[in-house]
Amino acid sequence: MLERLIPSDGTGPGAKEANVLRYVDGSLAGDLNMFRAPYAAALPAIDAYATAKFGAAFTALAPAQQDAVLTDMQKNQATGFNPTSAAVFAMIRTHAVQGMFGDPAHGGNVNFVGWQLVRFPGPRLVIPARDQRLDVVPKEHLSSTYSYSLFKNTARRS
Amino acid sequence: MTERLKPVDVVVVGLGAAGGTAVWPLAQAGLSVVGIEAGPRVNEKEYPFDEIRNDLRDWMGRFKANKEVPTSRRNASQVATRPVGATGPMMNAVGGTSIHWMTQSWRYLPWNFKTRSETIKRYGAGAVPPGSTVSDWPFDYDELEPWYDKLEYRHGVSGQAGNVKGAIDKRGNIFEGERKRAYPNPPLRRSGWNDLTAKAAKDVGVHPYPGPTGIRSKPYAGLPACTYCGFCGWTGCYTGAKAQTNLHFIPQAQETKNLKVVTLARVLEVNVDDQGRATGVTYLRNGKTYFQPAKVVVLGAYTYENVRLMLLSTSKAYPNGLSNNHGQVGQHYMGHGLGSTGINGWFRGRRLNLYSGTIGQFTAIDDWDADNFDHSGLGFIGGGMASATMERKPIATANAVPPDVQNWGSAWKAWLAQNADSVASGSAQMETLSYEDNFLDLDPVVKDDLGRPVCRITFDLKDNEVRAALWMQDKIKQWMTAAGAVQLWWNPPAPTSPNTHAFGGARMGHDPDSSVVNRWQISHEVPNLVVLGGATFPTTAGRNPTETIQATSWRAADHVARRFAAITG
Repeated sequence: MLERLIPSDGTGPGAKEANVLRYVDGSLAGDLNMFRAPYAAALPAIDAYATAKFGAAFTALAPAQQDAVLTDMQKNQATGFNPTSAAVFAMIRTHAVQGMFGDPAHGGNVNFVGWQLVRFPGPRLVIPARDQRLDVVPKEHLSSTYSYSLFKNTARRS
Repeated sequence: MTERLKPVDVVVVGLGAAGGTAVWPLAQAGLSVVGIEAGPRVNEKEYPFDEIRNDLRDWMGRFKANKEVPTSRRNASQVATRPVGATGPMMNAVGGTSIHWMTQSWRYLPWNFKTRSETIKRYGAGAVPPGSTVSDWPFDYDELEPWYDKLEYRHGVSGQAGNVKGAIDKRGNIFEGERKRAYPNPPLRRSGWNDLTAKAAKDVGVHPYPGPTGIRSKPYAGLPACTYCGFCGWTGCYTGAKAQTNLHFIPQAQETKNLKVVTLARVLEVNVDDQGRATGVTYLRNGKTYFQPAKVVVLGAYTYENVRLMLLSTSKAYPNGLSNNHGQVGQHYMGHGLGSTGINGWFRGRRLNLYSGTIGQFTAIDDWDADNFDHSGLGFIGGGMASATMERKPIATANAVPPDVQNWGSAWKAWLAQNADSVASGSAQMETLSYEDNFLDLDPVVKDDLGRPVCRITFDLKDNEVRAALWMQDKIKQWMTAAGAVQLWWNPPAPTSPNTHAFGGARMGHDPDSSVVNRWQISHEVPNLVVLGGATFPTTAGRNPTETIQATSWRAADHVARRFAAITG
């Protein structure tokens, strides 16, 4: 599902290369544990809807069929969800985006593929005037914030 | 059992922008002060550039704010709810939310202190919206001006003055109240986006200026200058360039030896005697409860926390909550229309370089705020300061796509690859009036981790606020189009709650039947109780509140220090 939300394609790497799944799993085991119950309810609901629509569980469907299921969910046209399919879609998409574009220390955004997609130059301690001008390509510093010595030992999980 | 501690002169609940400012004049005057803070002490190592940790999980709210997130509803017929995973709007640490604030450092306009009387004077009594309880402040801008001045010079606020002793300077805000002197530091660096939006504002006929910022543009008072790192909001400043009370007020108060700071402690109740005087506070620390006796109790926490603590502190003298025998605690609640007016623009082909700087690095427009324009026939009063700021982060950027682009899948990725950092927005902080049926109380069902009711918000936008927001959206659309946006998108006005700009609930005024505290922010009912912060504001103004919270807190604490014998006698 994450790989349909953020596919690997001609534009470049997606959720698979960024290891968004590792981010989601790690977060649900930690700071985002309050979402475990909603996920536990959502996954069977997605399979039930996929089976009703296309005759098989979500992972067994062709990519176009998977996209159709996700589209129905986002448009709030899929049935059998709590509270709504649009809310469940938004929850999963929100976490997928976090895993793709968040700091790699949280498990996703491997090799900074998310940051490169949105042209984020990386965390920089000092930004010169030139790099705040329009249409300038700023100097990159692609690294985790936790690779700076100042933040090396900073806790990031509660 | 509760341990009774040694009595002190003043106990201050909360050491953020409000309480963290108040401890300084109290301690400097020689009073013995205990400051109680729910969070720990933090330093620059606690401010990593991590959007997930800071912005999305509000990691620094984990000690208290995230455990008591208010519920909300739009009217009294609804059941108040909060989403799964909701985080608190504030953080907990010595310095509080002055650490992770967005740094726009504003004086309110003279009109904001006289909104009701000036509206009636210019437009007639019928211009006050139906059901609104809006009132004038019990003091005016001129009375607060010296405190704004002291605060700006202590923090080293950066900005361009527009009115020094009546001399108008068009480089600054020509609508601002008269100030005695210029800002102590020049404005922050102007970015390409700042320049572009300033030129566009002139093109649509208004008066842009670099907005004032609680960040030092130059080294000041032994503290360094801004590095424009791009990770300013929702975290502290790793260099110490930001105006934070854990850098400016609290350490100096501790140097007097008159301030004792108690960290990781949660205040449960303000205690009172049978005569209705406050006797001190009870707090929980490491599983043990303590009673801290004090001659004066100062509530310096956030709006939701101050009001909730008052409502939870029931006693024989105050059966409906502390200082609530007139039924005013929780009334006149207001939340800024945050997010109501944001207009997103697609600047095709431009690299805006918004991954840098701070929200305090911005172009501001005052022509559309307060009574700076003629409201005749518009159907609303008030308005808002409009701004275009720096500081975007990658997750926010990935979500900023036009509504005709599906926000997932290959089409989305292709759009981002071409257009990320070509999207920007203009927005306004919209003035929101108080109304009879917008209020705070205790939730009848939802509890915090200690089993105590959380605060419940009942709040909706009224016709005045919706009309103002729609009018403002039109203005900002013109502005963004003039700046070169080829496509615009926005959301309809809607209430935001809970949020970081919450006002009212312990309003200040002259009349106990329509306010909780007097012009010195001392309770009408409890003679030795002081309330600080946005909870006491009669109006929101159309701009960010932090500097006014600090200036009023300094003024109120100074009054307590000077009049201590009379207040406690």
